[in-house]
Amino acid sequence: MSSSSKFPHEANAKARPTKSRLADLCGIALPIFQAGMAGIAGPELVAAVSDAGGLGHLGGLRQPPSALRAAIREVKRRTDRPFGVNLVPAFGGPEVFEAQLQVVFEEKPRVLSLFYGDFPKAIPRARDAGILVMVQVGSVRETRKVVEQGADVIIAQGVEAGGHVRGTVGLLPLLSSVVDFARGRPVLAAGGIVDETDVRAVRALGAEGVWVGTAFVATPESLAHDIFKNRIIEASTDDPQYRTGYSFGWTYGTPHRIIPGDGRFNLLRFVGGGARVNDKPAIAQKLSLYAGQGVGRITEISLAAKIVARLAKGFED
Amino acid sequence: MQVRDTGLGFGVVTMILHWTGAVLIIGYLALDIISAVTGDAGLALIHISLGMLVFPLFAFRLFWRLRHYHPLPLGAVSPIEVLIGRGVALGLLLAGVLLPLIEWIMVSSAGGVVGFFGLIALPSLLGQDATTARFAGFLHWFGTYALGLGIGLHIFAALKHHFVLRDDTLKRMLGKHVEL
Repeated sequence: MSSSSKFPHEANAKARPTKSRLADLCGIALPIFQAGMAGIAGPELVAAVSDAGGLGHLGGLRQPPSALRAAIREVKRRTDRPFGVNLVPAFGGPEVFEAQLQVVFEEKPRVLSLFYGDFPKAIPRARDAGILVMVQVGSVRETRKVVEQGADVIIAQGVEAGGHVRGTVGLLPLLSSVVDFARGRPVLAAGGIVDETDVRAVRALGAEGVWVGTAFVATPESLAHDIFKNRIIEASTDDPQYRTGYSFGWTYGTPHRIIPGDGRFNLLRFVGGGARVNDKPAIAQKLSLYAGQGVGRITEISLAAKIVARLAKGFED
Repeated sequence: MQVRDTGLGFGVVTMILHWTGAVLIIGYLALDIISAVTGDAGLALIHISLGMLVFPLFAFRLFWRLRHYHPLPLGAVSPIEVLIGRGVALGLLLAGVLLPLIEWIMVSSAGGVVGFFGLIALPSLLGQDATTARFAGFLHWFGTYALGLGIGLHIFAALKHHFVLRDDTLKRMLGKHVEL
């Protein structure tokens, strides 16, 4: 990886041949993947990231199938670049997951990313439908399983990540191990990644791309409430906390990382969530908001394309 | 029509038992209030008997609710409102189990007999004890107010969905198929 022309980081970079097999696999210019954050990653953000040369992911969690289909079509209206859909079966039950899968198979986004579940049937079915399958894992055990099940790409999620976290291992030791057990499949690094220095670090450990969530929350294109965005740019590295209590819609005890809400008598601070633009300000203020440990280095609300461009610098060498 | 509840819709069991339970528990609450205001012992006995129908029905409904996924909410409602709405609905199911049970304890410990519409007399749950009777009486009083408040909130939310938000939440519980 030597020239910037191979990894263009201009905001309007077109998909062109790269030295990244992962980017080539996805038909994109830069192996930069925006995490499919439920309620936050809507069509505007997804299209902005994909237009910038990365790959945006719609957050499918909590989306009724018809709304998911409408969101996918809205992305297609906004961009002709590849994009992905993120699904999580932990919410809504198997029937909702199956109905969402049917929508994905019919609408055929370039990538389906899966998280927090067991996917022995979903992975081969998606691949048969011509969709590239990424699975986010938090342990070596899970890596072995999803490799057996046929996942095309593995996302190694360190415990530094914001929102729901799958494992308890930090990205540094996890990433190297996942690369070892991925049997040559491309591995993305997730958890606390916000800029080019992080990209260089994870590349040194064998990551071929990055999966970024929190940094894309603080963009004008995200559906996050302004209070949520400001909370992220004001937070320090020490602020996000690992919790195993309640987070909206998830089984009690599912681990997640949040910036705690304010107020001693504020009961909503015991609830993890992502405040959206149409939520009431009081709720956004009180809720404990999903965020990863990279928040300390997110200091402004930036266009998604600018974040992609900054991360892209980490692939220039 | 499906039997079980899934994330995509209510099953027939939930729909039938929801409306049966609604009639029973509103009748149960109304008879409690009227008998307390008028001092009509006959109404109080019907209220207690009704409780013996409410108890198993709501125990089954609670079991059924916890065993199955709940359908996704309709419209762009706030997650917190969903949380509150579901909390109130679960609280109502719990109240339908606990209130008749507390009443049974209250009557037994006061030396009375809980009957079922004069057909059978149910065994006493506890021996006669004035302190237990007073404590159970307090819990019953508190629970009755909480149940009334819960029913009010539940009906308010259903009407808000129907008339203000204009979605199919109420019709869905009446059996309308809603494509999610």
